[in-house]
Amino acid sequence: MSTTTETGAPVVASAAAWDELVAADGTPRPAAALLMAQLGELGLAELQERQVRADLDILTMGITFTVYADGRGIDRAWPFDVIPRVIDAEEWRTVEAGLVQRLTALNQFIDDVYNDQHVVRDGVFPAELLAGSVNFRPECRGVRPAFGVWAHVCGSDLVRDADGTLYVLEDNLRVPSGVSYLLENRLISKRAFADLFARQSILPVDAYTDELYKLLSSLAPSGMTQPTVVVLTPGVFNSAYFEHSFLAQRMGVELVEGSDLVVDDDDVVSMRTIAGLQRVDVIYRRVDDLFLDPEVFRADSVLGVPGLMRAWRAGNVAIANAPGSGVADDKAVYAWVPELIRYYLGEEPLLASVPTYRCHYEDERRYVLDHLRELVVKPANESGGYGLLIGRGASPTELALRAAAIEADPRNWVAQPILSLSTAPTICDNGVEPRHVDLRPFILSGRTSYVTAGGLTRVALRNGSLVVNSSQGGGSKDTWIVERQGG
Amino acid sequence: MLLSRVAENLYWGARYLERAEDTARIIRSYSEAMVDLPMSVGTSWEPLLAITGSRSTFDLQQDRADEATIVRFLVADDAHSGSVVMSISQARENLRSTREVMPRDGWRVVNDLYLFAQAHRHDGVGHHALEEPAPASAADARRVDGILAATMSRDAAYEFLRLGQAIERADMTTRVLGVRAAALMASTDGADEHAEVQWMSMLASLSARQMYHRSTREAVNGPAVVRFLLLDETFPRSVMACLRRVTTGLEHLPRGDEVLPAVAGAEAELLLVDPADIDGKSLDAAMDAVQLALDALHDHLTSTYLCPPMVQQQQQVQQQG
Repeated sequence: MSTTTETGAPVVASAAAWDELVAADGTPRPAAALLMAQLGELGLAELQERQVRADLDILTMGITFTVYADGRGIDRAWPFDVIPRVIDAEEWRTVEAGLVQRLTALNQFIDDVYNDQHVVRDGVFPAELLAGSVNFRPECRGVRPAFGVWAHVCGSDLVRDADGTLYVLEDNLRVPSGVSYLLENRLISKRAFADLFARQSILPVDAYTDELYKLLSSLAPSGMTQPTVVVLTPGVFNSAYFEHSFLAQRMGVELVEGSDLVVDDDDVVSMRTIAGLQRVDVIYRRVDDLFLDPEVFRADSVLGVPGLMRAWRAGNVAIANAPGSGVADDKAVYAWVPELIRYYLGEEPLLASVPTYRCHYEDERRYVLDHLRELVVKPANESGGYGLLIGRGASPTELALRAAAIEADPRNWVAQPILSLSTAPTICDNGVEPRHVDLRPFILSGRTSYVTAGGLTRVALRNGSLVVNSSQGGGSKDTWIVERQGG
Repeated sequence: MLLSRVAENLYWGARYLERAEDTARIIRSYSEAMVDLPMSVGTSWEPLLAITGSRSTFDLQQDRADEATIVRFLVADDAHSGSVVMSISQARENLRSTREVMPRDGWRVVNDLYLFAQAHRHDGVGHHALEEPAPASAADARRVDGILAATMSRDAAYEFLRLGQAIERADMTTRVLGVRAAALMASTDGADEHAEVQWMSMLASLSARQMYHRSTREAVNGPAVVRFLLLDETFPRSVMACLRRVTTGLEHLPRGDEVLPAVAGAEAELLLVDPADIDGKSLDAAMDAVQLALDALHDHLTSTYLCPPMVQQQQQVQQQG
């Protein structure tokens, strides 16, 4: 699928999948024209040279993520492909509006299910689904966070099918990670292609941490003029510790662990500093709900803070994302999002959702079991790509095991058609070849909304693979939103 | 506003960095002096074990106390927590969780140093100590110093780095004096014709040779060297200068006055030493006393700032979305 032009340019066209940079006829997509020309002038050897330099930058900057093997965490350098993925700014504006619309509806949904539950009473969302949701937290009933917003930071995964349509694959509303890599990728790609940044308008991504800080400050209990904001991390062993530290650094706030915080009898949260206890007003937590507060959730959690839920319920501290937000990123809820957008906003969805079969409905389950080979089967509540089964590549044994698992616990499974993930030219051992990509933009919601310009492009480095998670051998690319000159 | 946990990591990170640099320099200058001595003079590498306080660990792990074994143990041994390579690793581990308070470039250099030490830790070990890349790289610890001095606000985080550095440095200077100076003074009143080479080497092992000459304008002699390394207030590696640095640091910290008596205690120990009238044995004993006072200062700092009752850190894994 990889060809070479007369100038030695690694141009890639792929018949089966949509390519982000190259059209089916081999010409560059308009927004990628300058980039493709540049790649042609550089040739493979120079491109590989720039890749080596980028890898070295990543190593010395200590940009890492942690993977678990044999019960211990190993720090790995962040895998990065120097060829960026390009999206036309005009297309991006629609995506951005679609994401804001989606998050507005999802936040109204979360606020509704923890309060009046109009959506259930009006027969739009099934009561039994809510009752069976593992991410619904009864402990959060009756709480009303500022602006009615629960999921302040969301990372939604987008994929592009063979016909070029972008679909939202899933919304990560609990502790989505990846934004630090998005920002670091930009620094590295600016060094690799400085001249291209000078010659065209590529939307900057740098404002994210300022926007995040503004959002977090705005959540402080009323009357606070200079609130104390902290980032709560599970600690250095966590796979995303690099990011937690990065965000605290960029915002100039403290990075705390559970044991650094205490909640007193007046339900006030403080941190242990060298000057004694210091009050905390806003917590950007990167600890899962169930580890947050051993008084309420897992009693054996040493990552959390005893009493934190008391303090939050009393309104003495804001927590982002609010506990319980995960109720809306349940993959079973995903199937209802288009209806939720219509119900809460009276609008048609601007962004497509992937058709989703819900195994707890008899007819949809039958369809799934009869068409396993054509589907991707996912657990309704897992993240990180674990437990995902792609029917096409699975062995008969794997299919039979999965069918049995679905029969045993239908509520836990959803299935979607296999989308043909789009590709982008990527530096591989044998030159430049197309590899599958997805895109994770980050959406901030508070009094107003903010969407990152582009997002984190993740790439499946193995030929033919559809799994882009860095925990399972995926890499990443910088994402350029390019304003086309002259419209 | 500085978390106690972060303050502790900064303090220890700085101590380990200083330890790596000091150990590397001491090995290097010792080795340089050894090659200057005539073959007829029997040389021993064992004083290096005494200076670094690692004699008992060494004896447990090693059978032979020759140059190659001792140098490898002090430079690159994974099982010896005081080796240069392990000190750098521990510095990085501590500073890894302080990235939100450290300038970005500071962390970058620490990380670089770690990667370099890891990549080269087995190079050349077993040959001559002068050719070790790991000791050479430890000089990079001073790049961290420079970056911090140029880019870090003089806040509490900065002060904890400096406190760790000053206390480790003072400790190392007393160790060098307690072992090498004491031995030189004990050896037959200057009759040793190679004594001068050894005194010079000792000064060099503390980067003190040039400043000693500029400050004292004297030929190298025992009492002047001891006075300079213990009491000179302007040379940054003298024990007194380190204690003054600790005092300055405490003046910038909340509740610093609670720790000041411990600094005064160490200064008092120091002032008991009369360099003009001291022999090797009593110098060794005096340095032991100063080290105890430094330990007491460390304990005081820890109980005041660093050690609120904490839950035992434990590895609990959570998946990230």
